[in-house]
Amino acid sequence: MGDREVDQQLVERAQRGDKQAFELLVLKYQRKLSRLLSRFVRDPAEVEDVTQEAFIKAYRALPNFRGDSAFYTWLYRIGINTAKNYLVALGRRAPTTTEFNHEEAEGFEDAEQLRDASTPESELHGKEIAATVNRAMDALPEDLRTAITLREIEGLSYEEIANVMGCPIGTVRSRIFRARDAIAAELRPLLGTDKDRRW
Amino acid sequence: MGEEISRFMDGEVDGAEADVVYRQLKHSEGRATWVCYHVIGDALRGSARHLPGFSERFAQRMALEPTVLAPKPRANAGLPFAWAAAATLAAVVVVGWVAVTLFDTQPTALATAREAGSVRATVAKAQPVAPDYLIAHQEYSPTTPIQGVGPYLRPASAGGVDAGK
Repeated sequence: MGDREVDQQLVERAQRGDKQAFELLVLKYQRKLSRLLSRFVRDPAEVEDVTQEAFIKAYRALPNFRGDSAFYTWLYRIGINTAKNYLVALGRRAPTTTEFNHEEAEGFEDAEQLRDASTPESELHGKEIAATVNRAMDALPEDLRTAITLREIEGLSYEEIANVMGCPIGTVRSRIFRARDAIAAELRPLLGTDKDRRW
Repeated sequence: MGEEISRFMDGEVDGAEADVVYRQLKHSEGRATWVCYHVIGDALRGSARHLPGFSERFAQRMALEPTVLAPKPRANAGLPFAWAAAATLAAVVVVGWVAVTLFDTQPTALATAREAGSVRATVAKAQPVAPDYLIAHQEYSPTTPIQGVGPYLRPASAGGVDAGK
């Protein structure tokens, strides 16, 4: 089971009336989608409005989602259309540079391709997060760092990582979790993710 | 709890265990872990964007949304296809059976027909019908175009012509 199947599980729960399952998808993709839509809409407040609107439209259209494409591909299309409609309603024109296809959007992570519509505060906060994660990564033992890198950056499955690292899958599971747990310990104060706060 | 969530988000958990993890994700601690792990992944992929308060505002909007319910896929959704397949198979069997029956019986039928023909010829030779009888009953013959006109027709025979010569 891969990333797509995880999303599909959550989608199916949401389609059965479980709103919280959809909120987990929102928590997963809100950064990626808002970053994508910031190519259309410059103002940070507008980016958030359009991103929220896109998620709401996706939720309303959820009964029509049959899993023929990946959830993010589908969400991406809704997001792009929402942004374009938003600009049309304001009498603005969507930038032509955003005419890239959805396959491109799947791996759309390169920071240099984007002119991020962030406020100075959120930009600073983003840099702090990046610095904290990088620092925590550097502090990890080599085997944990390799395991999390192969998973998060290279996108390998546990089985593939086990082959690359020459260890059992159980060890891969443990290494990835321990890496995440160690980084999360550094990151949580920055994110303010305490138990009583809603995410 | 973190290890299960870590495996779940990597797609390494399914079945009943996925239900257990999912229940953990309904609690704030589980959701915080979910968010934190995804932020780590995003940051490692070069996207450490932070959206303070986004989720809270979105949750407020979601609370106003009516719950969507997708129509449950019917358990017998494959039934029309099964019926169509069964009907096709039945049609093929029937056509095949008829074809095989015809091909099997045709030589026999032909042989029987030939045999009957030869028998009829033999019978005809064995019992010749007198020409007088045929002439007398010609009006009852189905080959006569106008029934009942036999008595008014002048019989002509090869014998007559020969007699005239």
